[in-house]
Amino acid sequence: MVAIEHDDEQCERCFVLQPGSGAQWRATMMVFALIALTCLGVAVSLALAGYWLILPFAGVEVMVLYWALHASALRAAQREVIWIGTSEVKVQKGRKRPEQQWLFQRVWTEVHLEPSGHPWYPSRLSLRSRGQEVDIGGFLQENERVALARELKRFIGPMAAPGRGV
Amino acid sequence: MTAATHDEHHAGPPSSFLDRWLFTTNHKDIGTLYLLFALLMFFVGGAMAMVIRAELFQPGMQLVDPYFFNQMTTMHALVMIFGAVMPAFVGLANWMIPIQIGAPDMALPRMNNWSFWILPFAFAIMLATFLMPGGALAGGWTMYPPLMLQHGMAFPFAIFAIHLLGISSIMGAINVVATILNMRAPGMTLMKMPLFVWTWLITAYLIIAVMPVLAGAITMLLTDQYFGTSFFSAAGGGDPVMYQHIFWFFGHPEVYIMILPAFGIVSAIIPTFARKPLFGYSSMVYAVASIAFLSFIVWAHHMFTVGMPLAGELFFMYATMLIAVPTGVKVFNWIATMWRGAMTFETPMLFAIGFVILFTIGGLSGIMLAIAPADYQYHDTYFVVAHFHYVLVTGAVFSLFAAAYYWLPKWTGHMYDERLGKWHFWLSVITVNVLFFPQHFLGLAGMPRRIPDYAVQFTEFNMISSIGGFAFGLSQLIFVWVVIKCIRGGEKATDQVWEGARGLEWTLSSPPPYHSFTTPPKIESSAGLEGSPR
Repeated sequence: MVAIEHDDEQCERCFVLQPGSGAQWRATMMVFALIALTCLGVAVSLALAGYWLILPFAGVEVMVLYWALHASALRAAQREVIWIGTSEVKVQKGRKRPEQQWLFQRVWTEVHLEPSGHPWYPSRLSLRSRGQEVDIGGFLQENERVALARELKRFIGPMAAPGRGV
Repeated sequence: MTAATHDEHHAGPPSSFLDRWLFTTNHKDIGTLYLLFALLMFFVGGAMAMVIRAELFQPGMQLVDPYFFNQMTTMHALVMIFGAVMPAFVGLANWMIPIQIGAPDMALPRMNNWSFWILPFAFAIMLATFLMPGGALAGGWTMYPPLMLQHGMAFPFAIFAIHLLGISSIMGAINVVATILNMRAPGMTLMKMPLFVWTWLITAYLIIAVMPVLAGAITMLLTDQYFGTSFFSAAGGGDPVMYQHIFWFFGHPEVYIMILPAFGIVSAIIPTFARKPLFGYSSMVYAVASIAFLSFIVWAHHMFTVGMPLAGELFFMYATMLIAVPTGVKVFNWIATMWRGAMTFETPMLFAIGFVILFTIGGLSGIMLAIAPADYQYHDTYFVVAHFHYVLVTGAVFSLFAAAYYWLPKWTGHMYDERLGKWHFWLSVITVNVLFFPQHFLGLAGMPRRIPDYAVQFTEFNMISSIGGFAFGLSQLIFVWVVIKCIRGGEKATDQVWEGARGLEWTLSSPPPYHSFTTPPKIESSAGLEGSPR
């Protein structure tokens, strides 16, 4: 989903992109605890009875499960922020804080929407300037990506004079 | 972004066949691979069943030697359980869970690819054991020691193959849990999820809980054989009966792993063709969870005759009988859903109704087997064979057919041939009863299972059963033709497909786009979700 914030006086506009997800880490951890408790409880009981070879399998499995839940939860927390200032465009990507950042000159930047070659595949939206390119909105729905591209083209690029339409 | 997501890998269409199918991370592609693999294995396992039924057509030895017959019974079970039924349900999970919860794909697409592609290699190893000195495993799919330890070269290879199958199942289950917990659309609370998703979440829990137990048990067999341990060797102070306890601690939940997703499928289909909301959604969820819990405390009903304290037999007998309560709730709810509904009888509904009736017969014979004193008579007879085939064939397999007919138009964009579908149903439902119902009588009369020869008084029922078996096997070719025909073309399916269908999958085009919901749909209320409250 896309959220747009703007400050007309400062000629700034900010697009915040995030994957929509109903994930709740607390609920996820409760389910994980239930599974881990069952799995390790059985394995430890049998290990105490002398059948210890079940325990390493259970341990590895619980660790992989935790990793899987953590990795997918992190992906749901992904954010992309496109900040358009008077002369600059800043793209930040990260989760709780910006982890990567790209800086472009607003008038020398092109918004590029590459249609897919097949209806099954999504289009690709990127910002590029002077040999530097960054993909944005990979997790958006097709119509959202097209709308975002249209909106960005209003403000970014050779024809987007600073302040126009802001 | 440092880590590329799978979406970016699919910025354009795959350039080659290998890219599309070998390296795919798309949930629909992987679901299709699972389903086709399961269908292939269904026929491989079915061919073994045909050998078994051909040999049993008459008393005396006809076609194969007894040792090969035992290989057939053992490998038929392993192939059908780990190669056909489980992968088919995982295939359905792959196809349907993301689009039923409004997610773009499974949570871990690369792991998804691995979990499928392990399967063909595992089965190549498993089936290659037929060509090894001593032949394939012949001691039954339960692999009890010390019989299991008397195999030739097949033993370590089969153990390795089962480990691979277990890894595949665990990865699939972890993916399902991560997808359901972390990728639901905003507003899709747990109690708004379609029942198919719920049943799979609980199934995944069972898989994760019990697969390490199987892995540990068969590894201990391996160390007993090759590394001098004595976990299950009486000569070294071990306990072979303990293997049976450990195996069935895995084995009984495994039975529910193969049937809980079927409950979810039937709970989706019946409301659609009854044109009524599912009766008692919440009670269905709690019933499935109760069945899963009970599955952990009933394992020893598989081994009443092994010698247990009376208190143990009583506990396992009553605990097993308790399962009838949540199962009864489910059957009641399905019937209540149909009650005074505007029912139509398209092929998916026919298979769903067939499931409810015939699975209930399997459940009732299960209650008979749960009665410890009676089980002393039934144990290891054809009554048991009849019971679990009613549960697994007319239960699990019928639900898979129902699911295939229900969602084929959505998957392919074409309507299947309804006339052929009905032929498939009626031939299947008649022949499967001809095949398995007489086996109840054979078992009650004392015919033991896993034998290639039998006393002459069992001849007639065995002949009837074999004829039913051949006819049932041939009937399944109709299904293959229906699927091929549907993939190749046919009447264009609408997005809605079925008038009474509700749920997010029906909001997508038929066939759905390669990436279903790149941004999740908003779930404003539970209205419209099949198998969930409205």
